[in-house]
Amino acid sequence: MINMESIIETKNLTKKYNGFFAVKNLNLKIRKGEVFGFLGPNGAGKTTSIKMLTGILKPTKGEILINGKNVSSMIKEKIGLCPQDIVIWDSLTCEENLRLIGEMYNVEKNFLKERTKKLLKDLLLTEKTKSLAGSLSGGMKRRLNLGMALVHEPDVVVMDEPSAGLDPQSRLVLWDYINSLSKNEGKTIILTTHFMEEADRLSDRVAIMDKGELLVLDTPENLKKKLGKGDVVEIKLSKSEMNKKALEMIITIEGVEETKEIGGRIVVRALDAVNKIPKIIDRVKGLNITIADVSIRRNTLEDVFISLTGRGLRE
Amino acid sequence: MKFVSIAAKGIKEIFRDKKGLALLIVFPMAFMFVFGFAFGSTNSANEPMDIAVLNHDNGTTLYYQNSSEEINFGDNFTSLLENLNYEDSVTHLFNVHNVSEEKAKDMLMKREIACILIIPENFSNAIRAMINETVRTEITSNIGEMIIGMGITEWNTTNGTYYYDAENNTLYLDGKPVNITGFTDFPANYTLPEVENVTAEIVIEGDTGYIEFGRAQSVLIKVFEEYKNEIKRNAKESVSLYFGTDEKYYDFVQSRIKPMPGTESFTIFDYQAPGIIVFALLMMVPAVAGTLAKECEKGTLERLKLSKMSSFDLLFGTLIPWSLIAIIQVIILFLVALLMGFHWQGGNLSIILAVGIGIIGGIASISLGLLVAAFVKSEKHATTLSPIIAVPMSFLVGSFFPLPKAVIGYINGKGFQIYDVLPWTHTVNALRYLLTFGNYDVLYYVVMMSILTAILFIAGIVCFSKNRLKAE
Repeated sequence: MINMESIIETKNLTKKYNGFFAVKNLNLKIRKGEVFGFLGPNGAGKTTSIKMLTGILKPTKGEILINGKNVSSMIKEKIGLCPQDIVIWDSLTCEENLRLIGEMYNVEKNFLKERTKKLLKDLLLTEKTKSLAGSLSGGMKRRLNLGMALVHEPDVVVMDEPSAGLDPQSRLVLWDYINSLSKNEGKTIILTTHFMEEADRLSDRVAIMDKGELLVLDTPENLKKKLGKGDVVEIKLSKSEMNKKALEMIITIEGVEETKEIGGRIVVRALDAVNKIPKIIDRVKGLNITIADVSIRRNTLEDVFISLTGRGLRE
Repeated sequence: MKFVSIAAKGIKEIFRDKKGLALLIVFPMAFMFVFGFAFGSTNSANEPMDIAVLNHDNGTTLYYQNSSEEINFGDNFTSLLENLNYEDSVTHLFNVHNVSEEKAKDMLMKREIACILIIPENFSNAIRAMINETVRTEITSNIGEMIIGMGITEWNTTNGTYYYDAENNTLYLDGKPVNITGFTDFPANYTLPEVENVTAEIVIEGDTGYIEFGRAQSVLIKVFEEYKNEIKRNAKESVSLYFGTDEKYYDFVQSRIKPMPGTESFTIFDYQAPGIIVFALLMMVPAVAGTLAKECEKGTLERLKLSKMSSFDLLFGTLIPWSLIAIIQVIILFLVALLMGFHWQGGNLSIILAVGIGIIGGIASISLGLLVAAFVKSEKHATTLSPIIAVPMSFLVGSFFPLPKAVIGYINGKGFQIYDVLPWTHTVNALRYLLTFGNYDVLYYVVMMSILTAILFIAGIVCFSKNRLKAE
């Protein structure tokens, strides 16, 4: 259940390295119980932001308030971090890993025993209880990595690229678990990702970042409505050097909202895109250019991002 | 008590990493085997060590209550060296060459002698000062007993008139009670010997790269220490006799010849074995630095930083398992050394003390590991850099070969050499004293080693906490 009361608030949060702004004047309020997504390409400032939120990095400027208190005086058990890299002790068993971190948070002994058991069950690792963490598969390690962030039952769980490197099946298992944490256990979840689908499916609200700055913050639906009206047609020409000329022709078609060249392909966002396709093809053919491929899809957060930055997320 | 969990984690990690553990234990063991094989059994025959003595001592006069005696302690000490035997053997320990300085240097160059012992001009005067100091201390501490024993009840001094009430065991000065323990005044008809401000230094000159030099100099130092102790002991005994009876001639200086303990069949390996134990302790530096660098590199340290763990929990928790390794290393290497023919001179207590000393040496190595880990970027960097520091250091602290003399000052009458700033130098010396020579007089080394280890540990904690445990 999302509460309108904010649990985390940042004011002009800034991190500067040798004259370079990794994060610049970040102002946001994260609500209790929501899944809050940071979306952006590599180097956008997502990880730096969450490292400041968890106290690993000191901000160059600005303030972080958790439950109204400054982060420097925050209560450590309130936050659990699931880092981007798998951070576990390979020489310890799954159970020992969870217990060690629980002991570091002063979790009561009997409760820790039960909590470890439950987490291993929820994360489908019961059979691997006594196995050394170093011997687990990549997906299992990542699930254990998440368990380490949850063992002390934090109110806020921060996940940095939680599904990076996972196969589609493991990713779905993880997404279900993240959903249940939010919906069933009422945890506030902050996640960073550069997977559109992940942000779209999991987040109640998304903050899109690029070059250290917050570009926009809203629900995925609102963002798509506001910034990505219509559907998207993608065209690949046989000669990509003709893309620029084709773009100039296509934008003149009525109902076409936006045209961009992304990764050598022409991306056209238009209202009633299906009916616009014949016109688009005619205009391109009029330039004596052969079309290699055409596709149509619903707009996504990536299109929102493209609309905002003029670049794709993986560029 | 989070440090207990960290320590338990460390123990599991160390003992589950079979390769790393093997490297930690087996590598120094292999060293012990090689050195034992090379320098142990093949050099077991008792042969006198050739040395030259240049005695420049001018002698001195010793005064007793009613008489005096001319004595040259340089000659006395030289004669002692000429007559010393290996333990349980009739073979002389030294073959002393009384030659000119020029000839001695020539013999040293040709390696016909192991070293030159130079006795300075004021050697006897310095020994006399040492005797007088011992006598003064002994007399003043015996004064209370003397008063009772000699039945004196009243006497005059420059401070006033003393009266001793034997019935109530109370001493009065001009009618006021004074503390007997702090009483150092002496009856007017007796005199205490004056202590001159004289010091002398015997020099052992030789080629530090020559193993015979190392062997000879370590035995010479031991003999000289014994000689000084014997003189002090004699002086104390004479004082006791003086207060026990009356009007008897007391010779404050005597000497006797006894076999040197620890020389039964002294080999080069006997000199090296304690050093190899210290070498093993120094080999913990790459392992500790690597372990901590791995925590940083893998991000586990960041995870711990986010928790309620304190710097103390991490560093103390890291110290415990590695101290355990230090204990295991000292015991295993000692047993291997015995197997390879090490002539252990200490009793069972020496092993317990050696383990304690090993722990302090181990803590010094852990501290150096912390320091390295505070500055390296990765585990690979740590394991590459640490041996570059630790291996030369094992030579610098005299683990394998004796070090050239490089005195930079004096502490408590002992020369402080430049290598003495490293705690492991004292670890080597203490282990050698205990295990090789069976000498328990290691307090100085233990104190120095502990102080230097504490300094190194604090430096390690400060640097590691500042560079690795604070928010960036």
